[in-house]
Amino acid sequence: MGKFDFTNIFIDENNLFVNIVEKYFGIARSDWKFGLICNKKLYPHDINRIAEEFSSKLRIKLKFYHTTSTTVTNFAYNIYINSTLLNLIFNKVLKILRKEIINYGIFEDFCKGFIMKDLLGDGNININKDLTSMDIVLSEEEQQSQKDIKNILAKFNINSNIYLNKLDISTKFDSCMWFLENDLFIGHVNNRNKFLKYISHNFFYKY
Amino acid sequence: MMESFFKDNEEWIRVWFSSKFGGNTKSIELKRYILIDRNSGEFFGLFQAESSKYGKI
Repeated sequence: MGKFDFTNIFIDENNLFVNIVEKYFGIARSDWKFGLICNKKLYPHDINRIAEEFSSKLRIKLKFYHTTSTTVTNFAYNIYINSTLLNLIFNKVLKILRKEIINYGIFEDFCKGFIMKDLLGDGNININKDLTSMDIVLSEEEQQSQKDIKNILAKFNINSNIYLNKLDISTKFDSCMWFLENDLFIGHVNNRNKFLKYISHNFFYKY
Repeated sequence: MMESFFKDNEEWIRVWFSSKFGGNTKSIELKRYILIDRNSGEFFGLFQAESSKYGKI
């Protein structure tokens, strides 16, 4: 049925995920398996090379499958532990923390980490050609998640609006400076570059 | 069901779960307490964005 899993295109984010699960929750690295979700254009020898590189860097045993997908541009890593129970526990804890954490001022660092990584995974930036307008958008379908994330952002005086399956997040000066201080989109070259382009064009001036 | 125990001077929990249809129960062991800091926030942010969401407890 269910499994505890994580799917992402960045090795470093997969590594971070496995490291925190090991250090904070005590789940052994050896419990993980991984697979690759590949675009059908990839050759078998490329798939093997990518899998071996991943296995070597994360020290997860090379026990992988691969599936093809038309929605993946190149490939994505899917790490997982076959445990419905683990999935249920982490989902439950996530829901409680997301809702309750804003009531405790001492957990600001947790909230910052949560927002930055949620945006790294499900966020996107759009800027117009003359760099005068930027949208920071978080894709999120679940209504309770939308409300909780909106409340966490509000804790840092960042406004956001919910439209159907996404949150449209403020790009005012103060919001952008907060995102800059907290390393928004570091790890996602395209979004990070768009973000830096926008703020350097609009908020920094040369004398 | 859940029970706590100590391992290497740290408190852990052992959890069992069975569906209403019965069948095999598997247990898992987790650390009892976690730090609520930037790292755990990053973990749950990644989990929010990129992990599967199934069922309810």
